[in-house]
Formats: sequence, structure tokens, C-alpha cells
Amino acid sequence: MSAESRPAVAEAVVVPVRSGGRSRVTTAVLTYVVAVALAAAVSALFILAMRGDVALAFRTILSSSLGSVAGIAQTLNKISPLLLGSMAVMLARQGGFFNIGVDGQMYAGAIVATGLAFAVGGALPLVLMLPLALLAGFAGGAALGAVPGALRARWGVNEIFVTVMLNFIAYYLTEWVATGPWNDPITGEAITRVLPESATLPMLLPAAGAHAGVLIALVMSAAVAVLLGRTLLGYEIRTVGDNPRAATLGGVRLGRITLVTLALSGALAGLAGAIEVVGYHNRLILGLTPGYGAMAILIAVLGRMHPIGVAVASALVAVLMVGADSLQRSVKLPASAGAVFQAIVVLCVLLVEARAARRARG
Amino acid sequence: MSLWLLVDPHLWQQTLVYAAPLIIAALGELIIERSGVLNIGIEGMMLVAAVTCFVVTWQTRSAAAGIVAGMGAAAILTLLLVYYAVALGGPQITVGLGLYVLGVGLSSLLFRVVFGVRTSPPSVQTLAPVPLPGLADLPVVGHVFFHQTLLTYLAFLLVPLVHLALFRTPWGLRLRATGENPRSVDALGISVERLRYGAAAVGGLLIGLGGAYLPIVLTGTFSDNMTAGRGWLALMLVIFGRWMPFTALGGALLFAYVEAFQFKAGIVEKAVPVQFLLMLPYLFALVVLVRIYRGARAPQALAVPYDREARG
Amino acid sequence: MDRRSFLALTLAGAAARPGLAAAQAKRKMAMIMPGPIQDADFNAVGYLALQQVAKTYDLQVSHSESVVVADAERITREYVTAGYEIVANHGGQFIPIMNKLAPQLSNATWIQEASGRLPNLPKNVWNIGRKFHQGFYVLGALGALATKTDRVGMVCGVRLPDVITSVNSVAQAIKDVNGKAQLLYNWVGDFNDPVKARQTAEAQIAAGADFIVVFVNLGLSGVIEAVKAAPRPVLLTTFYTEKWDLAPKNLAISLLFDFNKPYHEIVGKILKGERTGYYEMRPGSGMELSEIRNVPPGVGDKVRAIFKDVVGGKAIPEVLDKTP
Repeated sequence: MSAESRPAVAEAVVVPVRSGGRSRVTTAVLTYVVAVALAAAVSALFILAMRGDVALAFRTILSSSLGSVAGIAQTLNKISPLLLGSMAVMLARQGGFFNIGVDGQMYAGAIVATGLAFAVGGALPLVLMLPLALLAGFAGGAALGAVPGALRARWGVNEIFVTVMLNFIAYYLTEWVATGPWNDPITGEAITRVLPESATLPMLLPAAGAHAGVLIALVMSAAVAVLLGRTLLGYEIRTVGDNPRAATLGGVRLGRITLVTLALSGALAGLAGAIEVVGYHNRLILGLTPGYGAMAILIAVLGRMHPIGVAVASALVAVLMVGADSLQRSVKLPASAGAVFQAIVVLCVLLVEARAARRARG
Repeated sequence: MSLWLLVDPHLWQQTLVYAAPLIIAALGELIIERSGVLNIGIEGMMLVAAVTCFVVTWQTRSAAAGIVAGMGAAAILTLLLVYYAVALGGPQITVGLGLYVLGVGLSSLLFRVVFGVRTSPPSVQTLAPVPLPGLADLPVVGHVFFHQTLLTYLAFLLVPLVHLALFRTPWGLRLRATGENPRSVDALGISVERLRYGAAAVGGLLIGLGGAYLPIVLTGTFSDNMTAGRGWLALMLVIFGRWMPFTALGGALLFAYVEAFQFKAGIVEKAVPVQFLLMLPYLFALVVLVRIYRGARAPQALAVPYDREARG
Repeated sequence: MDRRSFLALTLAGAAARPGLAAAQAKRKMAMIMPGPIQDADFNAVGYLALQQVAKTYDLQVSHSESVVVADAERITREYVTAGYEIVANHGGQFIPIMNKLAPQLSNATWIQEASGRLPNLPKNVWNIGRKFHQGFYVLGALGALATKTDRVGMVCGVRLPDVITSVNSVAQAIKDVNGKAQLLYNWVGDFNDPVKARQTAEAQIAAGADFIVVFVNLGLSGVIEAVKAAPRPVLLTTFYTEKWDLAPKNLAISLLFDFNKPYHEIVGKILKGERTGYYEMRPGSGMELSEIRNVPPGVGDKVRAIFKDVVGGKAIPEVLDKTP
């Protein structure tokens, strides 16, 4: 898609609600309430069709993700990659770009963090190694994000397709390191050896298994919000996203902003990947991201491309993901039912939102 | 590794067989995008088409019924997307992604619900190759080009057909105009919505055909995620082909060739880690895309919801 | 719904069902699987073993399929908190989770599958070591004996240790049994992609292979289509289960995996209080040969003799660091 059509494309993803001030928030909340109700109704029908116990299903979804310390811990763990991933998507979107490569960038960050840990982890104390590993993840993701950024800046190549192709490439690269040079043979799977102790994230709730990644994600999200709202760079990014031609006329170097935005976006995703490695698995595994990239985009849209909205949406989707998976064990639904359930919820929310926006436009 | 490998007739035959689903789905998406709607849920739609085709073929013992059912299933999803896009002016990329996620889960779920747990996977008979009389006996080229299944022939026939439809018929002209400047179409009293729905129906049927190709021609079974990224590739091929059918075909053939080559090379080439060989088709597509991208122009109104009340 | 009313509802529900008291006396076992149980393959045989063990020992069982490693920890914790005292990990990808949780949640006992003996095995974990390469040696021998073109193909999934050792043992078998034959193998990159598996098999058939050893799961259907479309008769092998009806004229043999054997023995021991140990799943203990079909007379008997040798302890080198 050419540069000229980009602002219009922005509309294609973010549906502005053109009612002003306080009523805008009320409208948004009401929209969500209706959306969730509709989603619940459709899902109930779906569960009934699968011969499941609807009440039990809804109880399970909440109780498994929030009804116990262990559940909350695992939900928190899930928030970390979802929040960072959707922040990455949101940041790119503010510049008018689509980053569909969050999965690949997570793998890239994970690979660099793992490599550094294996290289120097034995010789460094945790207080040095851990930040280095996270930084490495940041850098790895940035490097991968810079590719579509550079291609877009230099030749106008659309980043959607570059990022999608890079997802595959990063996946195979991960498969190579996880089955080749770093493989742990006893597992018999595409999993690396254990990382050195110094490259381990401290635990938030040790008994329940929650690591501190969610804190890092929250801090970084706040940083992104500040960047976008209060810095010159953030202003430049938003101007480019709003109207690239006007931005150029105003002195913003389009190419530079393109590169920086996509690189930063990738960096956030790369950090998420590094956190999964040093916090959750203590290894690099193929399958590190079970589709977080797609969910990140959905979350970013549900959060209306606003940092607070995205944070809330991340938490909700984490609860949904954890809960939907538990349907397997409580209502005896097959695993794929959870994914369908999530998709139904998202599509219902999008439907209600779109109708509300249409009505608001008048 | 000898260079003769590059011109091995078996390689060309493979290229045609495996390029076919890509080009069919890409043509479908091309039609949809030409009307101004961006559908990134192709992967999910192809999967739903694949499972529907498999299940129906298995139940009815008729490949034709299965193929038609698969095409219909994908068309339903595409129409749903265009409903969001046209009637609601909603976010196309997001809804497309939502449909992708839905398609992946739904296809797996459907298979599971119909077949349950077994120790032997269900399978159907795949389409047999139909040698074209006379042409199939030509040396070398006969086996490569004229010894394919009916769907494979159809895939390549569709390219000039879609080209003709888009560039030589009034419908095609109106469709392309809708993608470039919907206001001008509206001003002539032609319904933008109807054209976009029409494009969605036709495009969806083709995407479904591309999805159905996989079980009915290639594997005779269904497995989760069996499209393995082909939907995304079809999306890329539309851009690669600059929204033109013949160029998209070139891209599909190129990609399938590199992929087939990688398998042949893998037998003899052991020094390179296998994952780098597996990356080759995607890397190749990326590099070629970058080279030819300069100058590629998308339909002006692509992914822009048409709002007849809006000004300017 | 807040916790108290949720709890009240659950208890009320429990009280309202008379059979529940008796059911609660049953001991509980869970199984976690990496793929779907309708694969008619690896995950299906795990599921069936679980059901069998449930019947034999009167256990309450539950399973989770298509579990990605990112969810395995949470799912395991859910099971253990719900009172499941035996957790079976049907796949080596869950080893890191087992290593993390077994020491922490010491009232539960794990059954962990791996490629061999796990180092530093926690005191509440049973270890099933699956020796694929020993079984594949026999399959390779069959190929070497049955091939008429002296080219044996091998369609390998992902380049993992189990598959590497198996490729090497197939190569070894060919050398031992038929020095003239050549091994053609390559990696699909995926165990469950039938389209790519078909392309791989077609490439090997085009290079002359008329016998294909298959080390993919759902990819098998692609290999079968390639074989059916081949210009000359091609035979193939499969594993885990018998799948004759998929290709009655082309399937020659299956390396059967009977997970009932290890699970029956191990669960029995766990229920009696023995919470750790090692069970090697190899030819003769969990791995058996199916019938041998579609090969020239006499070949079948030779292969059975070789199998007997392997069962009896014939040394098959486990080569991990390189491939032929």
C-alpha cells in the first residue's frame, strides 16, 4: 500500500469514536459491556452445541485464571508477553505501520538473549547478567524490526509482508539453534540446554510460579506511554502516523522515523521473548510463542491503540486465554474449542464496537 | 550437487502441482483487494475450506461435493469480513486477523467433532491425474504439463480467465474503479457495496478452492494447520504480482520452484543445516519482493471503508 | 461470582450427587500431551494407554491435549492442586517443567518420557526412556532387504536427537545387511505437515528410492500419496500404530509402540509406593513388530530374526553427533 493511502488505512484499523469528552469513555465502557454480553451469549450457544455445561464453563474460565494463587500467577505470566507484544503493535501503529512480526521478533530477542547467556552467563553475577540478557533481547528484537523499517524507509516496501516472511525465517532460525548447537539431547525435542543460574528472572510469587516479567512489562509500557505522549520522538512518530506528508513538510525525517519506530516496536517484542526465556522456561524452546503475535494485534485494537486501554485489554485477554484452555479439563471440550471461543469473543467485541462507531459517526 | 538439478523435469512438474493452490488463493484475494477490501484472514479461510472439503468428501464419497462445500465455507467467511468492512466500516485488518484465529481453531474443532479419537486416520481418495490425450505423450513436456489433475489445470486456466474478467468486462472495470475511487462509482449510481460483496463472494470461492486443493489433490487427509502459511503467501503474492493475475502467477511458480528445489537439494546437500534450506523459499520471496516492489501501486482505496456521507 | 458463593455452589453440587463420595475415593491420574488425541498416532496411543490404566487400576483420569510448553506449567499445577497424584508427561518437551515442579510439588508423582536416562532425576519421577533407534534399525534392515533399486529413502521430521540416532541406525542396518544399497534421507522440518512430507517423499522417489522409512507423524498421509502416485512400486514403513487400511498395497511394516506396557507397570508400582525408577522402552519392552506384508517371501523371516537379535541385546550404536 502506498504512503498516500496510509492515513486512510489507519482508519481501517482504529475506528475513532467522534463523541467528545467524558461521554466518550462512557460510550466505550457501554460498548464493551454490550460486546461482552453478546460474546457470552454466542459462546454459551457454542458450548451448548458442544454438549458442555455452560454454567460450569463460565465458572471455570474465571476460577482457573483468577480463583487461585496458582491461577493468578500463571495469568500474570501470560500478561507479560501479551502486554509487551501489544505495546509493540500499538507503537508501530502510532507511526502508521503494521507490525505483524511480533512472533518473529520475540524469537529474535530470545535467541540473542540465550546466546549471550550461554556465552558469558557462567562468568557474570545475576545482577549483571540478567539486565544484559534483557538488553540483548531488546537488541535482537530491534534488529529484526529494523529490517522492515529500513526496507520501508528506503524503498517503500510494505512492512506487513516483510514481517510475515520474517516470522517464518525467525522460526526456522530458532529451530536450528534449539535442535543443533544449543540442543539438550535428553529432552528429545527442540529445546536448548538450561540457561546459567545468573540468567534467571527473580520470582514474584515463587510458590505459585509467577516471575517478575509482568513488572518489567508494566514499566516498559509506562515508558512507551511517556515516549509517545511527552517526548519529541513520540510527537514525531504520531505526526508521521497522522499525516506523513504534513510531517515531512514540518521537518520530520520520514525515513528515520520509519526505521526507529519499527525497530523500537521490534525491540519491545524482543524483550518479551527474552523474558519468556529467562523468566518462564529458563531455556529457549521452539513454541515459545503460541501465537502471541496475532493476539497482540487483536489486543492493540481492543485497547483502542491507547496505552491504558492496551494494558487493560492485555489483562483481560490473558484471563480469557488461561480460562479458555481450562475448558478442556472442566467441560471436557477439545483444545481447539478454546481457540474458537477466544475468536468468537474478539469478533463479537469488534462487531459491537464497529456498530457503535458507525452510529456515533451518524 | 550438479547443476542439472535445476532443470530436472520432475522439479518443474512439482512446481506446477504445488504452485496451483497458491495461485488459486492469490487470484481470489486479488479480486477482493481490487475491489478495495483487504482480507488478511486467508489462512484461516483456507483451513476451514480444507476441513469442510475433507469432511464432505468423506461423508458423500464425492470429491466434487467436497470441493463445492469447501468453496462455500470460505465464501461465507469472506462475506462476513466484507460485511464488517462495508456495512459497518469496521477495521478490516483486525477482523481479518480475528477470522484467521477463528479459522485455525474452527477447522481443528470441526475435524475433531466429526472424527473423534481413532487409531487410524480417516482418508479420502485424492484426484487422479488426467492426462490430456495426445499432449501427454510429448517427450519431457508431456509428463510435466499435461499429466496433472483437473484442479491443477483449472488453477492455470483461472489466470487468464480472471485477467479477462478484470480487464475486459464491464464488471471488472467497475470492480477496479471501486478499488481506486469508489466515489466515482457511487456517483454513477452503481452500488459500491454490491460490487464489494460480489468480489467477496467470487474471491472467497476461489480462496476456498485453494484451500480445498490441499486435501483433495495432495494429501487425502486433513491435519491441523495444514496450510502451513500458504494463506499468508497468497497475500504476499498479490502484492508481488502488483495486483495483476499473470505476475502473481509468476510469483507463485517462483516460490513453488524454490520450495521443490529445496527438497531435492536436501537429499544431497548435508553441509548446510536443514533449517537454512527450509528458510530458503521465504528468504527468496523476501529478496525478490524487495527488488520488484519499487513502483508497485496498490488500489488507491484499498482498506479504506467507503463512507458516502463523508466529505472529500 | 465471588469466591464464597462459588465455593458454596461447588459444595452444594458435590453434596447433591450421591455417587461423588464413592468416586472421590478413586485415585487420580492425569496425562499431558503435546498434540491432539485424534491424530491416530503418538498422542492417540498415549490417550489409549491412559484409558487402559484407568480401567485396570480403577483410577479417575483426565487428559490435556495439544498442550504447548508455555501452558504446561499452569496445567500441571491445576492438576496437582485438584488432587491428581500421578502426572504423566507424554513427551520430552515437558521435561523442563517436570524438573521445575517435581521438587516443589512433592506429593505428586510424575511419569516422564525422554530419549533415555534423565540426569538428576527427582525422587518422585519415573523415567521412560524411548529408544527409537533400536526399533528403526530393524526397519532399515527390512528396507535394505526389500529394495530392488538399492535405494532406501527416509523421510525425517525435525532434526531432533531421536531422529538423528534413528537415521544413523538405519544407515548402519543398510550397511550390515546390504552393502550395495544407498540411504537417501532428508528433513521435512515438521512431523505433522503432510504436504511437505509428500514433497520430500516425491524427491526421494524421483532419485530412485523404492522403499521409504517414515519418521513423521501426521505427515505419513503425504508420503502415502507420493507413493501411490509413484511411477514404480514403492514400499513404506510406519510406526506407533498399524495403519494398513491407509495403503494396503504399499505399507510393509509398522513399528508398534505399546504404551500400555510401561504405563501399566509404572502406575502399578507408583500405587504401591515406589515413586521413582527407569523403564526403557525398546524392542521387546513396549516396541513390537507388526506383520510384514508386500515383501518377497523369506525377507519377513530374516527381519524377524534381526528383531529377535535386537530384543536379545544386540548392540546398536546410538550416534548423536553426526548424520550420514
